[in-house]
Amino acid sequence: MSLPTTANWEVRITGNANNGGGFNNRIPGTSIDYSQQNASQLSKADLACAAGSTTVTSATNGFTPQMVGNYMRIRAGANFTVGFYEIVQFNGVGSIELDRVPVTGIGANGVAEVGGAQIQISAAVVSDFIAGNTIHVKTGTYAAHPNIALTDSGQFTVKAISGYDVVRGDAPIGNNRPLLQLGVNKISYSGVVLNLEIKNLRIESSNTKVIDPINTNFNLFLKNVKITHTAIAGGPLYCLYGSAGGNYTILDCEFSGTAGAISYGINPFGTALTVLNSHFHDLTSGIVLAGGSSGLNVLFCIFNRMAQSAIVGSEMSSCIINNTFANCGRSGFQNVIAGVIGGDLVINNTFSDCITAGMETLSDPFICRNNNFYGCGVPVLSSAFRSLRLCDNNTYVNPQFVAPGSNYALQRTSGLIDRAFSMRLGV
Amino acid sequence: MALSYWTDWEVRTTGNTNNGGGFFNRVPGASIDYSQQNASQLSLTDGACLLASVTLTSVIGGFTAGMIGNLIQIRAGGVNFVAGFYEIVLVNSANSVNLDRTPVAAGNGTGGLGEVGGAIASIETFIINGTHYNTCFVKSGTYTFTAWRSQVGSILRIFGYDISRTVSPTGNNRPLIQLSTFYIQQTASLEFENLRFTGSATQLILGKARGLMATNCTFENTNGAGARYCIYFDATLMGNAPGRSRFLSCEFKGTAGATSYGFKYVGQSQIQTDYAAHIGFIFCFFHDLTYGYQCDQSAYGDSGALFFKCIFARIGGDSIRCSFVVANKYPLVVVFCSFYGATANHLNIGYKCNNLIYGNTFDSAVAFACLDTVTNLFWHIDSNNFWNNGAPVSGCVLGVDNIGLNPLWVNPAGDDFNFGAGSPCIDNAIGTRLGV
Repeated sequence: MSLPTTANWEVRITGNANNGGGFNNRIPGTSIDYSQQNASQLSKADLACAAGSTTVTSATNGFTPQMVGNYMRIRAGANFTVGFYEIVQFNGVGSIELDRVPVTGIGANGVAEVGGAQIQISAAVVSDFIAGNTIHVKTGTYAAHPNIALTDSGQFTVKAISGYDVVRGDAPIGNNRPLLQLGVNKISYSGVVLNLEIKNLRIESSNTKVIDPINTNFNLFLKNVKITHTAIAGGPLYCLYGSAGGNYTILDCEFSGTAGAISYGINPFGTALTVLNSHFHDLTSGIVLAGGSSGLNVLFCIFNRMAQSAIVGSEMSSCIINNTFANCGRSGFQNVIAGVIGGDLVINNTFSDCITAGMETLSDPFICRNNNFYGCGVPVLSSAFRSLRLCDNNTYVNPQFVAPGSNYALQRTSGLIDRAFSMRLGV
Repeated sequence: MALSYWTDWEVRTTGNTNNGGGFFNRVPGASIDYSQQNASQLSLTDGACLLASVTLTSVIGGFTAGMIGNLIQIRAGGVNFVAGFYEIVLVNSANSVNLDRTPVAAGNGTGGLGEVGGAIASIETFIINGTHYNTCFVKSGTYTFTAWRSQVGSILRIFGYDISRTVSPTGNNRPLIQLSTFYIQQTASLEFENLRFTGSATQLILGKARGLMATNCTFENTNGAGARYCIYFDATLMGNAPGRSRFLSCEFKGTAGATSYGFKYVGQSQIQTDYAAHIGFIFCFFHDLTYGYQCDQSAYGDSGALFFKCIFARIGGDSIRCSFVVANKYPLVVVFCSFYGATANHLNIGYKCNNLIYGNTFDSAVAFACLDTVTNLFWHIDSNNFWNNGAPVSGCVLGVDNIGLNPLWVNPAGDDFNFGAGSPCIDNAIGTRLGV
């Protein structure tokens, strides 16, 4: 056997690195999750195990039927292999079966904990964090958090890291989300393919790439995650870097940098990227493409306080719909390759106070309709602008944000309310 | 030289096949657009030109300074003249102009026949004569094709209008392109706006390259038998197709009796793995089809697609079908769409991961609203409404905030898919939180 794909891990600042940390509801109605507590349920220092056996015994007893499905972390002992093991069977108060053999010979004086939360997403946890597992991270600040170096998940299975506040699944917002302070560390991936979900977290790091897929085929889903790049100098720095051959889907997230650094929210770098309902601010650029893209969808996002262009790159293939761009040092949208590689679709956006232009492109063809441009150097800067029949139905009015910089909702009198497309059937 | 990048052509039913048909505002303030009229401004019957020269002369004369930038169509009948469209780039006198290139071959030209200005009568003429960045304005009316046509210029724009070039018509005020048994083959970036296409060929548009863009267009294949397509993209042996294609406020419709497709994509090859990836459908209406969108199963390539605020109604198979048999990296992104009636599934997807299915209403799929042909746990199906489907999902898992309530369409039988009063789908939108 091996550790189960259906396990849930528990990480909390009041946990302990020695704890079992995980639970698999192996016998519903009998198994009790002891991972969702600070202290372990059982602490042993006299474990014994015959060579090649999965049976672990204790002369001081203490095992219960309810412990089946809980993880035991063995951390010391003669011939014991340090690691996480699942209790798969209750033999008696002094004997249990594990998911696999925990020894390399005759094991004696084994030291272990059953149940209890882990204290961080440690290398030990990551090494046994397998596809199908979810790591639940309870709210709190995880200072000096180590690297999180992830590996494969398989093609259709997922590894998930999910923050919570009071109870799992409560989807906290703001500062009720757990904060991973990575320092100079990062979240990375290496392997063949990884499907990873990260939800309900705040992540801070000064690493060049906060989330850094070293290999290709990294597929990432971020939801309700705030990533802050904390470096105050240097660059280019990235909250999220792309993985050629992979795809990223991002929902309800926030990306920000720190003054003094050249920092970017996302560099897709060949990744198919969809961003929905997210906020990019205080960055050099929100999304920057170092090379060609494999498709970029940006929907219902806000970009503000950009030192340069909010979205910038070359050879982009973009659908930019219903976004707000404000206070950009250059342009809201900038696609700088000339020639026939076009195809950008920019509709229903608001571009405000972009120094050079709301939209700047040398690509052709593109569709630029139903946007509002206000306070920009020029609305659209393009070599092809003179014939841009597709660049119409745009307006040029004060959007009347409620509080620019902090609230980009529209005031009641804004001319942009209900100005969006409505679809005609039988067009 | 050649025809200018920014030449605007005029097509109208009241035009003439022999007319010049195009205009480039070469000398602003001096050039006068004579293409936006039914008759030519000047009819030339005695054109003369020395071999290899660009100077065209006429003893009868009639050239004016305002003609600079207008196209002259030289037609068959003269000696040594090469029929075609030429731009007047310089007016030397009432009897002499310079063209963008020499109009003669094999000897001195005499007896040249040509028309300066005036609209042409056929879009077909533009498709095979328009050059890079040329735009063709098509005035409201009905145009019937006489043969299948393959695009020649690398970026062409065809725009329908009714009264004014600056106002986009709707409904039947848009020009009607009756393709009959023929079709248009796209070979490079090609843009359509404000047009209606009907026809009974295998497909109306045969896509062969990236960058097909359509806005406010209707595509209806009227053939009631066999496999019929509104748009058929065949990327066989092509690179990068059909990436960067966009469809905004378009309608795709089939005819009962046929196996009909709104958009189908076949022929992927391994080299197309990137720029072929990104197709967008925004505010589009797919209805009375067997398949709204289908991407052929393939060992290579893909068609990552965005569907934003689209409607799929009365689908005889799957609304969106991308049932691949090998892994591919491009997710399906379906947001704020409405699905009403499918005899199979609304989404039939295979071997795609990280699909985002958000804010949609799925109504009345006989089988599943969302089907993955393999068990795939990496979908994100949040904030949708599932109503009256065989089952909401199979092979994938529901996320959070989904509901299962009657969407209360206003009148789906009458194609009114607005949400009626009291609909649970009203205001089911999202708001971006600052400092999320």
